[in-house]
Amino acid sequence: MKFVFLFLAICSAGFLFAGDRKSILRQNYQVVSDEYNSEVPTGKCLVKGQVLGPNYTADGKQIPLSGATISTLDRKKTCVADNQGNYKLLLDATDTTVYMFMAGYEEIVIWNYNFQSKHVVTINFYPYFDQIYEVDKPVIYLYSEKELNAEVKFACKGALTFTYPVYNESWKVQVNSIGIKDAETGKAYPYLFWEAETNELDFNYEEDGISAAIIKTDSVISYLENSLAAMGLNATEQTDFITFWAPRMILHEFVLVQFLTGSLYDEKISTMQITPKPDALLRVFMLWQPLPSSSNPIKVIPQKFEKFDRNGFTVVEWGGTKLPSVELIP
Amino acid sequence: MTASVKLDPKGEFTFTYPEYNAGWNVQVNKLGGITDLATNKNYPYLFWEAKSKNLFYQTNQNTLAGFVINTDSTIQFLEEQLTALGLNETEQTDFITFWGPILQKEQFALIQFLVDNVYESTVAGLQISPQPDVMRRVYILCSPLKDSAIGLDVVPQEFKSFERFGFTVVEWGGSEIDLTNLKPQ
Repeated sequence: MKFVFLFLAICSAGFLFAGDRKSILRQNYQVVSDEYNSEVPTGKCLVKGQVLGPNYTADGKQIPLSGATISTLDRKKTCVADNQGNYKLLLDATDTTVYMFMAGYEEIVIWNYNFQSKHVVTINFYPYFDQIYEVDKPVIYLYSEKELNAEVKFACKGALTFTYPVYNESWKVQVNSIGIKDAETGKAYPYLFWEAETNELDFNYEEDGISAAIIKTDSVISYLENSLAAMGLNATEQTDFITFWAPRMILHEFVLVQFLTGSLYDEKISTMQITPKPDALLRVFMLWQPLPSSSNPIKVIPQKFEKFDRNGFTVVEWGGTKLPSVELIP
Repeated sequence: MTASVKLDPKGEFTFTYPEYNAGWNVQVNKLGGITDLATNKNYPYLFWEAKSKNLFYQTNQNTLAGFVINTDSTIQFLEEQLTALGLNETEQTDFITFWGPILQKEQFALIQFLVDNVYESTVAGLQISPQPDVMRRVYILCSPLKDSAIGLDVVPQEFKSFERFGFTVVEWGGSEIDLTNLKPQ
């Protein structure tokens, strides 16, 4: 008997979405002054200031964060804040980036600052507690016309919170033209699924800005459809992606959207090892953030997407995370 | 074959995909999948979301037909109930990967399934033409709980599976219900 099958899915009705966070990030550093000082050696720039934490004393004073490290990115010049949270670091005038870090608190990076020779720059840092981000729904589809057995291992930053089928050091599956089966239990799955929580997630920045897009609510769906199609997701993968993310994104008037693929996915989200090696591998991760307006303090550069050709043993993974809204102190 | 699908949700649509314009007109393909006749694009399923004010558990005096589970066993519980309800492996995976993480927010969870005609009268009416040979609609109401005592007798629900043949339609969905503002009786 021919069997024709229409499948409707609904998720309902305006409720708490997993991972919905409304935290606001304050401006977390301030350049208080930048002045010429003849005592600073030529070719050097002295950076000093105070690191103040997010806790307050009973009488309303911010508590200094002693032990915070202030450093250049290559860690060649570093110093540690003292009991009053004060620090001093002598940079070269050729340095352009300095950052502050301390376990349990957010990292603060100051990019592209013009540290001038014989200057003293006073910078205060105000780190907040580490944010926990949900790495939502990476789903992994495996396709192969020829039947094969595959093993999928992955390592993500942070802690796994949910996997399906259950992940025990690896997934062992059988893939054929019909779909995926768990090699041990024989059960069929349309994809492999995992979720995690991490406190290390942020947009990817480049020298001159951020490769991303600012999208208005009513263009979210078409932007996602066009981008995902350009990246090579098929109709099912696109629909799975859009029905999960669009309802969350359209709650905001403007959103900043960045797609991470390839080596950036490896670097920021998770690395994956598949045996046998796939003939074609596509991994797409979306970072997005509600914006208070249509402009962004950092220059936004349109993203270019590379085509993807499926052939042989093909693996496609997509996932995403919503980053908290940003509100800058004027 | 082509079909027209009309939904009558108790509440307002907040999101539909493909776009719902007074109804969906689709072609159902033999190898699976649906083509939206308005745009000629392919979709694995039809999707909708709506806001509803009056959704709540069904109770009979002091009894609630449903389940209170320890969320350590969320996956086994959902697999068991969805299999009893007759959902296939793809439908189960889609359901479990969406609702599993939500149920696991606390150590316990209260769950009630609204099925078929209860779904119709509580959540949304559905009119499909031509009339399907078989239809199954499953809706989960759930609340993460810190404590397993809810002040009501919870009596397990039992489900009858169904046979798929001809033109078959399956729908699943759910709502998380916030119990935190309720006062115990």
